[in-house]
Amino acid sequence: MKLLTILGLVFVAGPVLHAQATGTNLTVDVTIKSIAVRGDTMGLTYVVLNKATSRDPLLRFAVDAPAGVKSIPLPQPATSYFVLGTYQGRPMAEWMFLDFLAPGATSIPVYFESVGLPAIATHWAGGDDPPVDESVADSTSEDPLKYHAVAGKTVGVEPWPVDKSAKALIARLKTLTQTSCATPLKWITASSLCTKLLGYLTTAETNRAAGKVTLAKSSMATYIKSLAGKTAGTFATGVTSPAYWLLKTNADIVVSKL
Amino acid sequence: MKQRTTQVVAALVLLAVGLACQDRATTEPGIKALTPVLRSVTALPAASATLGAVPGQQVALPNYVDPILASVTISGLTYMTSHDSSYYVTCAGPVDGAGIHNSTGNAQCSMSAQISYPLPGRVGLGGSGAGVCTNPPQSRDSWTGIMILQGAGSALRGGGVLEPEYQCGAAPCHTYSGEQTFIVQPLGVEINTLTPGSQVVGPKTIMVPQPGIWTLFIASATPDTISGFQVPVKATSWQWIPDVAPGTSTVPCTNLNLCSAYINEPGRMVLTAQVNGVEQVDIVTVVRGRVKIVPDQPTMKGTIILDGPLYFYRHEISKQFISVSVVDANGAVIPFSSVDLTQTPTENTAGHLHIGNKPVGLLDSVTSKTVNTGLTGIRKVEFQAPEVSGPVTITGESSGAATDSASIDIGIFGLQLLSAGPGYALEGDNGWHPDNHWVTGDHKAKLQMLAALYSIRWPAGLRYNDSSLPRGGLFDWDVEHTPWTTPHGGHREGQNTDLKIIADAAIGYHALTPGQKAVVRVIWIDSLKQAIGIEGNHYHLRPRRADEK
Repeated sequence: MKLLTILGLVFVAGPVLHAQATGTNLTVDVTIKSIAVRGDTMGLTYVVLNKATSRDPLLRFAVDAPAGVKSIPLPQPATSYFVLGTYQGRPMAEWMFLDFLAPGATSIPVYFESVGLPAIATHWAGGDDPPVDESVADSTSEDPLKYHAVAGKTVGVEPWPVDKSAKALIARLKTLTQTSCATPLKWITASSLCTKLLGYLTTAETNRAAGKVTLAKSSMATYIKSLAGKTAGTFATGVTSPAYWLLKTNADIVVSKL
Repeated sequence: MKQRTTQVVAALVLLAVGLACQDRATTEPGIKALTPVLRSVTALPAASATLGAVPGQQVALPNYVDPILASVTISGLTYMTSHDSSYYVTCAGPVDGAGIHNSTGNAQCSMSAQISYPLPGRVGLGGSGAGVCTNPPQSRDSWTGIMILQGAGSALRGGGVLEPEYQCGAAPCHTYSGEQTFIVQPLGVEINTLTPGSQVVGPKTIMVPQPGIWTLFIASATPDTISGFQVPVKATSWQWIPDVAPGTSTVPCTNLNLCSAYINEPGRMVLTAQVNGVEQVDIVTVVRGRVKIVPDQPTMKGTIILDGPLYFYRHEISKQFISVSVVDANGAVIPFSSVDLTQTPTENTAGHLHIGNKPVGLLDSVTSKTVNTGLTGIRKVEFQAPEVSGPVTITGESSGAATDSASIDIGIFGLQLLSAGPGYALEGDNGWHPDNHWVTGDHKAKLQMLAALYSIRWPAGLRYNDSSLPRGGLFDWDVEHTPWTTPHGGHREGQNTDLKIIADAAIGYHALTPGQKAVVRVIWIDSLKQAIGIEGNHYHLRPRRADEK
């Protein structure tokens, strides 16, 4: 009977609690500043904006890292940051902003390295989530990322596939392109560009299969060029930073395999 | 110990020789090593007397009608100064109780110190004849002996050197000074009734013999001999008290030390005796059988009862069965025996150094009870462990049977001591709970990991308070107001620890900043997959429960 009562309370109170869960009253923009490729290792740099509309200061930012965290340097000054490479045993790059990132503020660039290929990954942003006062009643702790942070998608790193051939990597890139163009990501908003990008990949694969490596590389170069803006450091119209770095980096890797 | 005593005596002798009349090596005739005096259990009072240096003097010592085993000590020195013209013997210095040998005059020991009782006669350092005393004399300032004394006693000073004064120009040839103290200390010895041939089933407890067998009781003492002397024991009465009057036993005993009785039923034999001069009483219980208390397990976990809202609901009742029976001399159970069961806590155990009203658990849901062993002769009683750790003794008493008890150690075994280490200090120990940092191996590793990671950034580190007591169990931190109750409800199994987050100026500890607290949480929760609550001035570090999301 007692158990039923407790369960009932959880069912009734649960949704309300989650709607007002501490640490979730914020919205962030995650920008990929760069992806550096060193052999089989990717180095990703992010900048996080805690939007002005947020009510919670930002305390934590985490990116899923299924390929593991090879390194995650501590931002400076060291007293203002804390980093972890796992979350409850799960590989994850996690940064704590100990001075709290106020609404409207942008973080310094944060960086981690992982062995694998750029991929679509989940990120979490959370505000402060102080413990429950147990001097009044025993508490039930909740997973901070699951219940006290806001999840989103960004670029991370996934393990290298078993098949590292150009054929397999082109097919993988095609999928990434389609996903980037489709909802819910919509990292590329220009649908005509999406069509072109997929066409370049089809041509590249046809040429590769026919042994026409030069033509295949040419198609990939066109693919990469289509993502970039007219000036250095800019992106083509309708291309966001995660789309650019995700697709461009993977395309570079395809070229290196041709 | 004996060797050490000998060395001490030897050192005293060597020291004294240097102070004697003439510098020469001596033997130690008649000396006895100091015998440790027994701690007085029950003893006649000690007596002392001081004997001056006047030759031939004597003073009275206690009169003992019956023989008494006593320690006798003679301490102190006399001093003798001889005239320059003395001829028999010359001395200018200390003389111990053996006296000084005068071989030229009357060939005796002069100035000796002795005690004198009809039994054993004159004893002490002194006496007559060469070899007992020497010239020059010795200067041992203490002598102790164990002996049986009886009758009117006295302390005696031997005669002086009988040298005519004319040899010394009409002046006394020898003058004497100083004194010696005589101490007679009767030894304290406990009465003891021996029951040779009987089946002993407990301290001073024997079985009713088989029909036709006589039971022998002997008045004795513990120990019955000291330094080779039999301790004087004199029975004054033997009294048989059957458990159910009138009994049918035959006890034809008066005031002899031996009592041969024909015992038919349970009861008590009461001996009254003079033991080394002191009247004492001893009781031997005679039983028909003996109680047997046998728990299924010698150890068990404590019960956990926690209720909301303060605590997450936990009712984990720890139980086991206790087999209760009464067996006869052959070990066969005696059906339908009534047994009174009680529980007794063992104070000052399991980390609780506060006594009184320590919980003892329940027997068939009550704190004490009487059970009947029924037709089978064995009754299974359910014992529910208390919430507090530490041994509980369950005692069974049954009329006409020897009492039995069994101890059940309650608690969590295998907790490890968390000592102060890199990145953290410990606090919270007090007189009630001086041992407050016992943890599981896993919790210990996580606490150390948290401190290690935290202190990389902030070397001042963390301060951990109360984890669990050495055997876990209920941790009643507020003994002054709520002893044996439930504050610190979670700190029972070595998996909960408090972390100080407020400032403590007395030790220069700063309150944790929001960022520092966030780091504690991210390490404890995100990295170590644990849980945290806050309780006023501290974080409550604990593992995640299975129900937690």
